[in-house]
Amino acid sequence: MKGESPRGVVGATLIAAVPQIVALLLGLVAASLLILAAGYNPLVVFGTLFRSALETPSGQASVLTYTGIYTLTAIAFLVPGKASIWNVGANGQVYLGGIVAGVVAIYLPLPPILWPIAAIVLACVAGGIWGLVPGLLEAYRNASAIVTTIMMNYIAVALIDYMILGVIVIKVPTVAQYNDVVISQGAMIPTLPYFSSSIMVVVAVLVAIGTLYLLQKTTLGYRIRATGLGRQPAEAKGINPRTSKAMAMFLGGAIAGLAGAGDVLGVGHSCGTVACLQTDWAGGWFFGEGFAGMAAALVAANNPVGSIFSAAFFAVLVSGSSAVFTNFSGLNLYFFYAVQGLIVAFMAAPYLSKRIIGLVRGRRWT
Amino acid sequence: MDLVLLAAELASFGLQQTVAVALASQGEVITEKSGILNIGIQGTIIMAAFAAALTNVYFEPSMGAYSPLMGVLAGMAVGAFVNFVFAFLSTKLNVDQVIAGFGLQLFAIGVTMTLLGMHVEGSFYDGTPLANTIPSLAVLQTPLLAVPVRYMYAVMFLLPLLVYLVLYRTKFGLHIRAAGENPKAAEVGGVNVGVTRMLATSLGGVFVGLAGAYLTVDLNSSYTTTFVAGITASVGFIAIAAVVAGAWKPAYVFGVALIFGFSLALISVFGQTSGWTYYVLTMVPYMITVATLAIASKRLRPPTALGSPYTKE
Repeated sequence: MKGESPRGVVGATLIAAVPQIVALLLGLVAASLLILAAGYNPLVVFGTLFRSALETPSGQASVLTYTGIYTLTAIAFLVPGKASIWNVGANGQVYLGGIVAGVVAIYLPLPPILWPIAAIVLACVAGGIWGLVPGLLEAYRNASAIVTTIMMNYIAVALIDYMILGVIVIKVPTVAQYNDVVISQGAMIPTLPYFSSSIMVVVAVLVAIGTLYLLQKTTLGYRIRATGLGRQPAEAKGINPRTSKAMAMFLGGAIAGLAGAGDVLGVGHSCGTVACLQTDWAGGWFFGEGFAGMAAALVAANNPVGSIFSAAFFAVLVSGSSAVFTNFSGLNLYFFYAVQGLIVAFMAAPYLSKRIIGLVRGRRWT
Repeated sequence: MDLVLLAAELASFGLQQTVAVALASQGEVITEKSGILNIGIQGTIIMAAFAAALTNVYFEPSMGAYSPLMGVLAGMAVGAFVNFVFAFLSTKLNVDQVIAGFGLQLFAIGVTMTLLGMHVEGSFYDGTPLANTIPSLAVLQTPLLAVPVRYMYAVMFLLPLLVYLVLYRTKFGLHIRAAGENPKAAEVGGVNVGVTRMLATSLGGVFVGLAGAYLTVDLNSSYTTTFVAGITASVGFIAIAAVVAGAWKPAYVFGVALIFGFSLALISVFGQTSGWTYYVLTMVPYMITVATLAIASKRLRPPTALGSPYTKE
């Protein structure tokens, strides 16, 4: 990069982004085939999706809210990823953060300003601990975080179900069922001007920039990145890869916990109650925040600031999908997850994208 | 509570819950032995389960009580095909196997649920149990409770032996292990690593698919016999944990699968108890899994080339 003009740097970044964009397009093409199979015109369906997400006030608010959440869960995935540890448990960490924030907001009245801050800090700690456990198990016991973080997700679901259905619903006199639990105004985080979405999206952007700084400019970031190079190179640099892995998982979990707190304490997609924690567990599948964040991080090639944009893309997809399934019978929310899965699958194959780029440039396949 | 009744209930529910984990984990043993890490077998199971239910309904008018057989075959075929695609991506396109595995899982959920929403065929789309399912092999009549013995139990107990024989007593098994341990040496020794891995993963997919078919045309975690949302619960991931904790040895893996399966059954046996015990019981299987991995992983050595792509030079 030495001696290159700024224009050259931008150009290089764009070229580096080409495989990601090809994967995105392949995902959308495959999605179009699914839509055709359902008997609709893909252009009409995607038109409805984008218009509903970008032109209606509720769509815009939803896009902003989800952009914030997915950016944070993307960072929760990519920070441990830099230390070559797979955090696929952002879902569970979001739940933990959300329920802790909810409990503080319901049971622990504090002065204004201080109340949401306390709730958020405790939520981050809870999410961090939920990430730290698998982090320690991988670092010191060699137990693959891929499996243990998934298991921690299932444990988190049982835990929040108990907290919501077994404790809050029974103990709070005014509550008959879980979506009656309304968070007191004093504990809520502020709302953006013009949009009915909380300021979490701004927080998420700041966190993304902060993460980039942390990874590139601080000792901790250096340790995390060196750990990602492998055990021996890290140790050669005098770095203990075990503590860095555990730290990276704590950080990732804490950021996911922040997303959960924002979910519960901020307005956005029918939230401001602990009920929103159960929306992405509905139907018994795991999807939603954790995996969308993972997809966003992958599309952004694990760049924290790039994740903001890929998170926004997935936020548009999920925000517009409700309009799709009200207007086109046969297509439902799950359709969005098929698209997301395809994009992730294509993302795993930079080799394929490179081949296709080669084809476009007129080279032969092999 | 009567101890005999308790034991009978535990045996009955425990075996029912073990089948899917046991079958899927044996399939994954073959796959991982060849050096392919399919973290997304959950996706394979989901698609096989869906295909099995659909095929069962499709053949109902023509085959009557034998339609579940077609469902099972379809599940196995789809399992083999999905795993083959995964192995093809892994060997020919050098995908990152962990990422592709999660992509497979997300895609499988999305595509089956989208198809479910399209209501193209038959009754199972609204959650009605399938008309024909696999009958019980026999029913053991204990004094208080009838314990059904399913055909799949026999399959589940015999499969580890079969997998052992394939892996350690055949030439193909030798090739699989060579491809997973030292692909370079295997290639020098005349083994086509790519083809071996694709074949092994597809063969593994047959058993993973069988686990999926069991969930719809036999029994599933919610004790209904059809395809519903969340049908696979956590079977795929628990199976992967069983492979690790069982040190990639068919018999050990089956033993671990039994432990995990019985822990999944606790909720069915004691689930009626209200209050916090219900929620603790739902957590127990996952806590056991995490604890098992934490204890076992330290001493284990996975196949050396597991998860890393191999390119010919």
